[in-house]
Amino acid sequence: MKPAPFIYHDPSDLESAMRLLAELDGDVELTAGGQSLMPMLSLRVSRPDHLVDLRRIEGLTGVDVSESHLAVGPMTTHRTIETSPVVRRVMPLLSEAAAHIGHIPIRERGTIGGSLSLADPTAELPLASVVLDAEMTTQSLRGQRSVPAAEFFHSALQTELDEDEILTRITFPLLSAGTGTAFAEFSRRNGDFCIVGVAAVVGIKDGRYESARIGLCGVSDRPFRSTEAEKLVGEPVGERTTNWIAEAVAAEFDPMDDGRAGVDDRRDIARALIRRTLTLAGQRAAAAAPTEQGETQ
Amino acid sequence: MPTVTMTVNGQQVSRDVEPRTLLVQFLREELGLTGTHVGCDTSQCGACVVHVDGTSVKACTALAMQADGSEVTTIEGLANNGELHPMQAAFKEHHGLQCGFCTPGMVMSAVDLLKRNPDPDEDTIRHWLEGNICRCTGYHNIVKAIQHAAKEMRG
Repeated sequence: MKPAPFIYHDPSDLESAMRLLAELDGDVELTAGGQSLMPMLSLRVSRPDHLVDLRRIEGLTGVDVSESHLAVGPMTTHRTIETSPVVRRVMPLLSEAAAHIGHIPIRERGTIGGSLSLADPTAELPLASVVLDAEMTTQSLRGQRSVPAAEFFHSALQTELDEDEILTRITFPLLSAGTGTAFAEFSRRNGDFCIVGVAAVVGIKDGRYESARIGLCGVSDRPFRSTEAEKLVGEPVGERTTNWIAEAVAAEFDPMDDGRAGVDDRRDIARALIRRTLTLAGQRAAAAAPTEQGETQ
Repeated sequence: MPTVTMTVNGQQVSRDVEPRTLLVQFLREELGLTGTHVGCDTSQCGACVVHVDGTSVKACTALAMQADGSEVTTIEGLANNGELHPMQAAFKEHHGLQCGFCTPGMVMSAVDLLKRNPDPDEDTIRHWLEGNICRCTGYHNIVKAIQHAAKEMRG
């Protein structure tokens, strides 16, 4: 047997799952798609006393768009986020980021809630959630609360979730018309943990940045959101601006050295990816500008 | 021990298992279906790919319990009365394997691809197989085999 023994629970509703989390003694792990946890169990890096599987609970999957928000159920798979026409239309950054996760069979099972709750510092969706100003809804027997993505990730594999809480919904505010987004990452092979990933969200009006957000994964113990990027507002769109901001943002963080890439390499990669994503997001913003008929993509 | 019940290659099976039993162990050790291989154990190599309810799954990265009530197809379920599935035949014909270790996973992934996209180009095939690692062939003949199988299966 690969994993160490555990007691398996597969509650059929959220209430029962929350009760298990509140009442079980010992080390308890929640599993959604299991694509990170299962290898950790097999390697015996993780040896919980209890495994609580969320797979039978209804109502935790799916995407739903309102006038102002996209709501995503935590058990929605990466593959659904990658391919859903709704997500691709209203939140293309999420789809683009999800497409970089693992391989297709992994994306068929892995879930957004699992990725956010695990909080791997190289993961794509935690970064996307921070850059897109997502709100995390968590639930426990004690009640429900809402946590901004910016406060959700504490450090590597550590989140705002208390031991009795379950992430039950992720809500993304819709982007205003004329906003462009882009995601890019560098890894040695497709599907590997990325070395650096960058997400950019920009609004452009009359050739100048009206808004700008840049975030990176793989450079810190949690998703990194640049404050320098805000200085883009009012600046003209062009190569000079892109080069200057790439330098400024790359100087803003202290990259880790995890044996896969050194500090200088990570900065170099970050600069290149910032230039690439800003340019692409800018082109997409221009294409999406609400001068014509509005709808794009 | 809890009981797990699933349909494997069209036959319903039921066994009492330890909850920590991986799907791939269940298939190999409980059912004796050793065509599904264990390569890396950690979802990187794709040798263990099977279909669960119609989608490709790395069987080393799911518990048998999680396939409870599901329809599972393994490499042993592809041939029909001793006649190779067109994908298996194409791998044989176009030398899409050397040592054969990755082959069951390659074939299962490729069958899944053609179900979704009956006429994939080379880029699509290579992208689809990112999660299947072969140490021998350099992939060239695998891609060729899949393209021929696609043509064959489109009729």
